[in-house]
Amino acid sequence: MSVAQVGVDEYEAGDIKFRELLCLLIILTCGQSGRGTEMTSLLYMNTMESERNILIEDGQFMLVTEYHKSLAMMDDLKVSACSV
Amino acid sequence: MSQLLGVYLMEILGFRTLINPETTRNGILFGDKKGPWVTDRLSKLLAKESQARLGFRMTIADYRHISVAIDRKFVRGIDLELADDEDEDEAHDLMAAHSTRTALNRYGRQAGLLRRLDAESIEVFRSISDRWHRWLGLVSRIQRREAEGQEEEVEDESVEMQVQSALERAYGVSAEFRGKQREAVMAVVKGVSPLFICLPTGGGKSLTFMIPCLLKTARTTVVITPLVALADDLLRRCKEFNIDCFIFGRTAQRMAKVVIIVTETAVRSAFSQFILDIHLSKGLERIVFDEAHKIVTDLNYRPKLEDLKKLALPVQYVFLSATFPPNMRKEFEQAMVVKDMVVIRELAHKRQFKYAVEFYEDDELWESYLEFIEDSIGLCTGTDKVENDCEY
Repeated sequence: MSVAQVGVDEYEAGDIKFRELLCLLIILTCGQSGRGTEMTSLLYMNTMESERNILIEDGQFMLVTEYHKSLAMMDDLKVSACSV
Repeated sequence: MSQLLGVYLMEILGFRTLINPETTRNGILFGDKKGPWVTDRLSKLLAKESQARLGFRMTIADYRHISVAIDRKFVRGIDLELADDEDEDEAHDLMAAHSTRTALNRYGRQAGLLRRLDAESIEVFRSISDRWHRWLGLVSRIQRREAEGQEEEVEDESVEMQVQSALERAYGVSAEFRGKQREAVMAVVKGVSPLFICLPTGGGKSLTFMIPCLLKTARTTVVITPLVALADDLLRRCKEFNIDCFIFGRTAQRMAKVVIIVTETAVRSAFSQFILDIHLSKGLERIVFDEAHKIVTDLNYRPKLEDLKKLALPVQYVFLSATFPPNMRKEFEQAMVVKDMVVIRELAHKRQFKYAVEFYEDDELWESYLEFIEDSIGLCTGTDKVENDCEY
């Protein structure tokens, strides 16, 4: 299937705007003290390196984030979750 | 928010992948094909939006402080000075990934509260998010099961089911118990005490207390082990199972699902105090003695083993060992001051091993021995190894 590149770019631009706002909304409403890096590295699918962070628990999305500061300091991951 | 995210992931993401596969390949939700967006970008956006809608510039760093303040002042609903209710507080601070004490003293220091996610902490995190949502006026349209209702359901769902699902969480979906493991685990879960579990080496003795720790209702299990190396091994395995665990005396004291301790440390008063504290706060579920036969067999050169009996507390006692001949039982019960012990035993015999005793006269002994070995070599697959052994 071929799609006009112009259309793709346009769609993508709108999509990015939507995702940026969605990201902010999640940061502001999930109740976790604002952590940018943890939010932007959320994975919606499993990859070679790590498992996805977005899960559904009892009908709600749950974001499970790893807190990297403690990994660097104590070689142990703190894990925290929030639902949106 | 769940709906927005859900619709996005289900409907839009697929379409994007179709028209522009490059951008979605890495699985990062908030990013592009180069990787996740940098925080700076979000921070600028937040500043722009807050300027437009709230009338002041707020960056992510600003929000971090503001969110803590909001949490304390509005969501938590109590003054900092009155922050006594540990369960409630703990959840908020857990979410900020630091301990309550750290939160009360000063944010930013190393904290001892390292927890992985289990069923309990999911509930805790969730209740926090719920309270934020309520404060923000974002009431969820989903009717959640009431807490009490859920408790009942757990009761209804048989203990056996819970154990099975814990096993599957640890080992994968089609995991099954071997031999007498199930019987042993069930006895531990049901609180049978004193309980002696005698499973062969590699028969999964440690599993019999680890699985019960994965249950939602699990409290603290103290494991007393006679060797430092075993303590390290248990620590590693608990971590593999995502059981919150630490070795007493090695790191700072705290509450955990599993507290491992080496015997000689266990008889010191610091530990008795610690274990008593847990018990008095109703947190202690059981004490497990690993390699329990050593309490009897090593007594002559490790006199401190005898002091173990002083740990007597009215909680479940579980003894684990691969070597516990029936005739050791009486001595053992005396040493640990227990009686009416329930013993779960699995025979350690392996089918591929054969035991035999034969009698020979002195003069024909060596000859028969060589003959026997030559015969055996024919039966063995690893011939090199056997020949090596035969040189003796």
